[in-house]
Amino acid sequence: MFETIMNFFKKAKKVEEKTQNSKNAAKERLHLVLTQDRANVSADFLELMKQEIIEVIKKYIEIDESAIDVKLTKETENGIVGAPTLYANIPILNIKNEARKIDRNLNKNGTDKKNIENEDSKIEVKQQKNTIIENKEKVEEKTENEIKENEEKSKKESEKEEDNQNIKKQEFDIQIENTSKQITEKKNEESEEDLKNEKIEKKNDKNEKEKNNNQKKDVS
Amino acid sequence: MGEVIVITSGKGGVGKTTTTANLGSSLALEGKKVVLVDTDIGLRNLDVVMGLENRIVYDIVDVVEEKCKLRQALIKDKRFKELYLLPAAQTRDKSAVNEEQMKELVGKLKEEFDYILIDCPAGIEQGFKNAIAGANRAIVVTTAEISAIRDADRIIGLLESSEIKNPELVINRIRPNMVRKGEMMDVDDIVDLLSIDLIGVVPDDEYIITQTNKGEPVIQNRKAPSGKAYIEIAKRVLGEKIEVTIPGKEKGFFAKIKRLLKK
Repeated sequence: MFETIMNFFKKAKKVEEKTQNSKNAAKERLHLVLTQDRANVSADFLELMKQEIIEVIKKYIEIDESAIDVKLTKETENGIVGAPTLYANIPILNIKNEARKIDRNLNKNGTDKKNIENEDSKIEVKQQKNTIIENKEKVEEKTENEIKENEEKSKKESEKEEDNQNIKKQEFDIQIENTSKQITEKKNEESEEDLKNEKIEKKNDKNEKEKNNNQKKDVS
Repeated sequence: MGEVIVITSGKGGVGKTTTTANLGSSLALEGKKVVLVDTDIGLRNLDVVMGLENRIVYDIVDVVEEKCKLRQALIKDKRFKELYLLPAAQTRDKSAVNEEQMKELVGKLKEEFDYILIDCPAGIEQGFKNAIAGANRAIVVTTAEISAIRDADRIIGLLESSEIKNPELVINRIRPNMVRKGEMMDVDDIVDLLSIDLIGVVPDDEYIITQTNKGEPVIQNRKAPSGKAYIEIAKRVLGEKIEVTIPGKEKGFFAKIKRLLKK
């Protein structure tokens, strides 16, 4: 009997937990969906941003504008789905002439100047490409770290919630014990009262019988 | 010069027509001269919700095609002082009218009425474009469901890129019991997601069905909680700064006792 009551309460709790999640799930899903909808729908938004990024990069590097690819997506290069990320693939043609002029003035050598300069510029281009790739990787690492941190945080939070629930369960158990004790105490009290009532009734019966006997004696 | 308010949502079935009918009736009760315009050509419903379907002679397409005068198409609601309905056509579709014609029509109505409420059809195509042409204010209706909120967000984006700034939100069909259990998103969640000003919250109400069955606006039934919400929205539209009553969190002694008893 007691166990069925306990099971009932446990089930009620489980149902509560499940339904608590549904609203939060809805909020999270909506948040992601709205972010993506808003970015996709305003194609202007992405175009404007792309143009401004190109303007800034053009100052430093000559780029192939027709082959630029800027996109907002949730998938990384490995196909893993994560937080919405902005990707920009920008092929480089050449470093700007200003940069080269500075190098020329610094290197005051003879005939093989041009060859050396071409090699130097090629190396510089490669270095620049490498740095851009490194930056990309760093950005990806950062977002991955952020994702991991968020996961850890949510784990800790769920652990805390579990602890709280355990504490609540214990308190609940104690309450149930107390109420069941109270119930048994009351039962004892009631049974004692019943006994008392029976005794009193018996006494009353005895008294009445004595009275009857006395009356009979008087009469006779 | 009247105010032109378009009532839109994106998603169908969230309560645009009901809101138009009841908001218009409430404004008429406050003494304003109001016209309700049904732009859902081909799927008209404002007439049936208002209970005026038997009195339709001419409709909005007849007016635009100049087959009748505007005055001939307007139906006067005898229950209210100054409430009129311009019904949609049922045998045409939304391509029968374009934005220019709508602007002209709305211009004529502005000269005669204090408030012109335009019931927008669901979707984002020609019907929507017609409905917002000529409007200077917008009310976006949504429910607390994911699909409705997503579509409302899209509509808000489209409104903001048109001439209508600062649309206001009505959250319809809130169920306070489900909100309390965490099964339905609450008012704050929805307002955070959509980020526009809230103008009213209407609870889910069986009286809407019964009143619509009879063809009467729900505000005429004093017992209906949704009716009270619509009356409040009308007051806010008129400019009164009343705090939005959130169903399930009504302040006041008796409301709290009712809630305790319901638990």
